[in-house]
Amino acid sequence: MTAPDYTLLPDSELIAASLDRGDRLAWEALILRYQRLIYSIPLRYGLPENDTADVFQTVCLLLLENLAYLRNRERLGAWFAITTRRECWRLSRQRRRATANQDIARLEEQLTDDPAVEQNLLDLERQALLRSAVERLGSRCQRLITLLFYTDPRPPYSEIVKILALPEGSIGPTRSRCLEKLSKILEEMGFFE
Amino acid sequence: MVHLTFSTLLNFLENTLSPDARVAVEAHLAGPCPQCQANLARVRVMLDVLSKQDETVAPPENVIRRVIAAFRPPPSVSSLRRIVASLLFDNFRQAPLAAVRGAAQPRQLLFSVEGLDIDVQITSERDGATLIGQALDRDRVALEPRPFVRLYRSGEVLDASESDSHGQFAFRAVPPGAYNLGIELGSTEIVLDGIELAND
Repeated sequence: MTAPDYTLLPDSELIAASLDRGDRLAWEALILRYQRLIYSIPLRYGLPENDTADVFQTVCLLLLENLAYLRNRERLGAWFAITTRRECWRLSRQRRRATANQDIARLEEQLTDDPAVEQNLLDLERQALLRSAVERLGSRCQRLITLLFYTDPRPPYSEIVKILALPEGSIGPTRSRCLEKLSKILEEMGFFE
Repeated sequence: MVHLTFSTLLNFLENTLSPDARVAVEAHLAGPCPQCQANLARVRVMLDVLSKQDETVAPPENVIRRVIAAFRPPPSVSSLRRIVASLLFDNFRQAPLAAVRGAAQPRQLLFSVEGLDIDVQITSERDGATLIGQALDRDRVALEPRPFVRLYRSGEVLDASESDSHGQFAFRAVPPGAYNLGIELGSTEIVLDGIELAND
């Protein structure tokens, strides 16, 4: 029996493997899948890097503690977003106790239910989920999508053809197939709900 | 009915279909075809997010490694023997309410189970409650290994912490609500039920 490709397993299977078999690689795959989402939220709220690292660690350890109790194992992205925001709030409260810092007051203002902030955060969550979905693509699609959408400046098609050793004129159909695969992964992740 | 392919929807959104093909797609969508309309909306959302600058940030490698290294097989619900501790003392019930609450005193609870005493003190503040506890054996000695304590709300772990060398643990800025505490000792989890937290 060969080892599973953890990057392609859905969240529910990674959670089950972490829980039932104590599988460290499954746990690692979960963290790597959602690392950008968890780390970007505190940064977006303006927390300094050391506090952001603290929030990241706390949220990951809370996941570990909650694995057995998660009600919806397919919607881990939403759980991470809510839990990370809550930890940002808790940390800001603790910091406020220690210091009358205007930055903290500003952070707390951002943590309110301002619709613009909500939309901003929703965009960030979607970007992070989409990025983690790209990382679940096969290597060829992953490289193509990265070159097309995550490389600045985007290389010309003639250059991409050389990098990926693709036949001339094949980028369009390959791009379409890769985006279709990406769409299916996003659907599995609950991205469109 | 033959539905529109992903490729057709993609080309439609990116305006790369011939005029005739575009008209045919519009007619199919206006059919109406709810399934293709939903698929079109999904492709649109995906392209919209892809077209925006990615503002997400990956954590530094050492931060990720630390979290991955912290992995230990978590106890599953079924693997832990769960025992509910008895509430022996509650100062809000022992004293007249006005005398206790009026003086804004913390709430003191004492639980007991299988040779253990667990003290819990709850202080309500404007921005949430502080919950401080201590688990000791009947000789008032801290337990080894140090108990791992979880704060549950509606069955979900809200926070968790290892107790210190004196058996003490603390949770701060806890939002109002009904909670349970779970104190893990080896293969057993001692449950403290019915902990109500309120804002000051």
